Amino acid sequence: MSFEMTTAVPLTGNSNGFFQWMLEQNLSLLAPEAIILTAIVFMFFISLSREEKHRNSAWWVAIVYLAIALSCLFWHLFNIYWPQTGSDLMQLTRMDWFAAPVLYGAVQADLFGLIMRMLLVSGAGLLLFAVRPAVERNKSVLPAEFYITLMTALLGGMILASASDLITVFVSLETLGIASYVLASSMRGNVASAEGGLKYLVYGGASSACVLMGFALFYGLSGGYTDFAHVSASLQQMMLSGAPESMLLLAFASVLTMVGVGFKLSAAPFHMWTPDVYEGSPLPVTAFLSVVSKVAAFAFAVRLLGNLLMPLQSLISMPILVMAVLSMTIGNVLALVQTNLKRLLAYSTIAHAGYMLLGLYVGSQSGIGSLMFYLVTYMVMNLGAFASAMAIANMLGSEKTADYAGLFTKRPMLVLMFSIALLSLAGIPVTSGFFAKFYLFKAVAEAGAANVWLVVFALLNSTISLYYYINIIRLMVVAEPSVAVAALPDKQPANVQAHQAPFATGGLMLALTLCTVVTLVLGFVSGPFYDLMMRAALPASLPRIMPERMQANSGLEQPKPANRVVLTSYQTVPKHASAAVTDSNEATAR
Amino acid sequence: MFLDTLLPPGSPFAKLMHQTYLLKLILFPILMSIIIALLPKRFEKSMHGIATVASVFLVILSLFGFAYADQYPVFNVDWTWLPQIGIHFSLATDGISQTMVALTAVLMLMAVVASYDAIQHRLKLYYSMLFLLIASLMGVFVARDTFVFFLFYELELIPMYLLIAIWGGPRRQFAATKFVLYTLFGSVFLFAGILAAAYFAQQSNAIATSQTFLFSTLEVMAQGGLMALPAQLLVFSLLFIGFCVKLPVVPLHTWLPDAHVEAPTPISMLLAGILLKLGAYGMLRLCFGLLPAAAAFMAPYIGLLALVNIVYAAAVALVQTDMKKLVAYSSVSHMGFVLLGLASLNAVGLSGATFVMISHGIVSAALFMCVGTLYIRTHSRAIADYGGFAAKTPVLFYFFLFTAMASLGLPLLISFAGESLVFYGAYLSHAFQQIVLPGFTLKWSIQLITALSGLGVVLGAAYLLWMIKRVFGGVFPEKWAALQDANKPELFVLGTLTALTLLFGFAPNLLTERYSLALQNLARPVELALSRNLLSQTPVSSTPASQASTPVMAKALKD
Repeated sequence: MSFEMTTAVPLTGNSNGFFQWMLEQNLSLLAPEAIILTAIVFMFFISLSREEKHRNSAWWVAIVYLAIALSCLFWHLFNIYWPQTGSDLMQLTRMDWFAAPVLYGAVQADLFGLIMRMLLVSGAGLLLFAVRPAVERNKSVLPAEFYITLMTALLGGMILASASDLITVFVSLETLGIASYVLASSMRGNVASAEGGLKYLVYGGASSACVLMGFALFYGLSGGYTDFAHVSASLQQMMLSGAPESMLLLAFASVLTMVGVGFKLSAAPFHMWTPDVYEGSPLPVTAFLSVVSKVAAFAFAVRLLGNLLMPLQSLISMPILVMAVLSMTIGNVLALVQTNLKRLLAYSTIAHAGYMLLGLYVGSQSGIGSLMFYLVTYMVMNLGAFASAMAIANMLGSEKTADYAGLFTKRPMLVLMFSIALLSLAGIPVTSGFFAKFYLFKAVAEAGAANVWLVVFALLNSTISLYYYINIIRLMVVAEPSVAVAALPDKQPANVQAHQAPFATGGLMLALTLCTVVTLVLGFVSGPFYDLMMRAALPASLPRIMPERMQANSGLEQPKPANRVVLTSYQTVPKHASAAVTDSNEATAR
Repeated sequence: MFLDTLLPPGSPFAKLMHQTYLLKLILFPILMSIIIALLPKRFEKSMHGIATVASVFLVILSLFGFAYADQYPVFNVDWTWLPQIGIHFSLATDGISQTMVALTAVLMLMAVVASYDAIQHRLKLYYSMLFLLIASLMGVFVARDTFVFFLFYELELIPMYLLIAIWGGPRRQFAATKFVLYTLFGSVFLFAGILAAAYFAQQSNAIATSQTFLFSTLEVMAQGGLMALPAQLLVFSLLFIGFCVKLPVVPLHTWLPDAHVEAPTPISMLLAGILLKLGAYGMLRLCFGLLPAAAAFMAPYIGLLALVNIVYAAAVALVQTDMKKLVAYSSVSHMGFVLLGLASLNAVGLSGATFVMISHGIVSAALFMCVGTLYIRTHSRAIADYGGFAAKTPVLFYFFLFTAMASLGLPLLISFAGESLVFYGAYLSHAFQQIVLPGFTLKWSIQLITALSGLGVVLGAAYLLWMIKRVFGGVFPEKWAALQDANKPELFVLGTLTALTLLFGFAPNLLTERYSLALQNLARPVELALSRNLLSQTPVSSTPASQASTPVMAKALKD
């Protein structure tokens, strides 16, 4: 199997000039990232101002640019990835396979990455709405710097979601990681926050070193390649040849890589940092780590384990399964005894990572597709839970679950929305959390008869999880009001603090309401979204070599580029052919 | 039919009623639940009235369908919901569903009236949850898709949890949590069974992928030879274990006494009256109705479970010192009769099981109401605290005695009809001659089990009459001197339930004719599966028992 993968085939004639190069390298597909980068620079200059009012306006910049980035992503979805209406089946299939290499293959723009980036951007936007009161009320946090770091982390996550080169992966992983360390210790002068940040930094640094070592080994093993397609192809060859010494190296390299993945996913046994960091960080940062960072981490995991290391599936599937089962059990069992809401949600995050790893373990289209659907619902419901927690913490100033007792009598709507998020996390029917689990477990069961026991195990696990989720609801609805709750006024005062923007708490409630509505709506009409995820999962679940094989075997024509945008479609051209194309281009140029 | 004169079949209004009937049945309680939750606080005082009006409307709605129950299903809704995995939002009613729906609505009204005295605080939340509970129960009884069935089956958990945990007795939170955990444990098996059924449907080429979860799909698979017996047995066992928790069957029953004891009176009434019937209905509809071959295979074990349920629970009831616990164990014992009726595998036995479901629904609700009326006066459930109440509260005594008589199966009262149908069906049954257990074989035929189950009736008479003697006879404790006799809401509830007990006791056919058509349809495949089993196992004339079975078999085969 010796074929050469070119990064891009110029379809537009000459390759001279910067703009020409941009077109050839499909840079327009990175427009959302460019927008976020612009926002970061802009916000950086704003943060230099001495006036607090000006510095606080960084929030507006972030929101506006996130909105632009999101609309850009939607534009991409409807104009590039989405099958055109009335198209025949052939075109539909081609659009599913659409995967354009960007910047000499450093980044791969496909539907999977697009959906992940949409999730990240919308998650960050909702989060910005939710964190504003907490961040601007807390004197020890610098708001503008906080938002800038958050946007930087988002940028790292977005590139990570579509990276298809070992170097890009590492750089974006570090961007996300370092920004997260800063976020975790963003409460200046707070010992717990500093401790959390330091712990995160130490663990994160160690895991980054492991990942880097693994990548270095892959680089060597593949004979000097860093792009996924080449590395994956040579790994496959090594697996086929089956030489014992190379197998040992392969196993070593994949274990090192999986340590990094496990850390990012906070999957057991690499979960130790999670509760401490979550507890130490300010609540907005905890929400970020548990929601946005987790989505990026799963995109990373799918790209790496389900895509790059696909040829090694026989090697890595058992460790993934062990991680999944351990995370589920440890997360759910330890969550039972938590009294601090942040720690509880940390363990719940670990448990959910365990469920989602099952989808990765299966690795089929439905496995990855249901994992993606789970990620969507997980993001929404977890954000709902965190937004409620922030709203309550803003009122009570406490994160102890015991202090929430009897809150229903004072703030029924807030408790209702919190309960919906919690019930969805527990997987109670009609909420989207139930359907996410349903699709996921169904995919697991379909993969093999022996997996039925895995499903039963996971179901029993979710029964355990119901106990601690319901316990919070029980406290809020059933129990007698606690001292802190009894002291609350009956109605929310219109404006708590004068320096605060009037609708800061309104923004939090808006984000919470949106999360609740989406949680419920995704429960009732999960079908179309599931379809979209399945479609996006198709290329992600298979090694990159598949499209070429399919095209070669099916004898179908090479797809033509879509006529509305000038893009190169993903294709492989043998080395001599690519040389010929370049030659002819040069000839035309002359 | 008087309904035809009220609503001429062709009229537009009748059409509208027909088309939207099932949706109204589910949406009306949900809507009421939301409206009540959103009402401002000042409506707290008029909440009892609002709930009563709404539940009267619900009773009228359910009686409308009840009038049509003896015909082939006239109401159905079938919308494609998630075609990717084959889920339909499919609802329909037949006689059995419609009877259960009517029972639910009537008991709901009774529970609302019983709440006048029993529930005094946080009324808005209470009624909101109560209507949500009723919506989920209605949904379970009319669902025709396993997935939708499961959704409604689970939806009932949350309101029930809160109803016990907020308005219950001293140990309410423990009881509510135990209830939820047990039910969820059952749901895991139920869900696994539903998924397994869908998996087999998906594997088979004969089933369209957009229909994998429909009841009818499972029926076609199981009865059309598309599903091997081991697969059927797997699905049957998973579903059965799931329903066992709800019924409850003896090793899994311990949540029930706790939940009953701690729940407030109206909730106990609903719990015993309808929630236990979810398990029974599920067994009847899904396990026996859809998987008859597996049912025929499992009948011996179900028969054994029935015997254990009846006798063990009755024996435990005998030694209770807490009135509510005693009544709770009597419920467990009576649910054993449902199991026995199911295990007899013939139309009479299944009809008996259905009848017991309804009769127990009415009688146990009345019993809990009686205990509740005493509890609200004395705030004690311990039998030892009572004595000589007959002279002080003669009206309550009369109702209590009457209900106890109905419960222990006095002829011409409602339980007698159900239990004699079960005994009759089980005694004439050919379901099994022996029970093969791992390691040994019990030479117990279903006739022997039926005879032994009679012990349950004797014990039932013993524990109920003994309780009445200790509560209403003997010396009156002076500390209760200020007690009042029954008030108007209590009279209404007890009077209505007593009237129903008498009505269906004297004329059981008023009830059986409602569901007999549906039951015949359900029982025919079961009888057929049994006769197939018998034919394949023994030569027809080798034992006297199988000689006796010949006419039944011939009839079944002819069908």
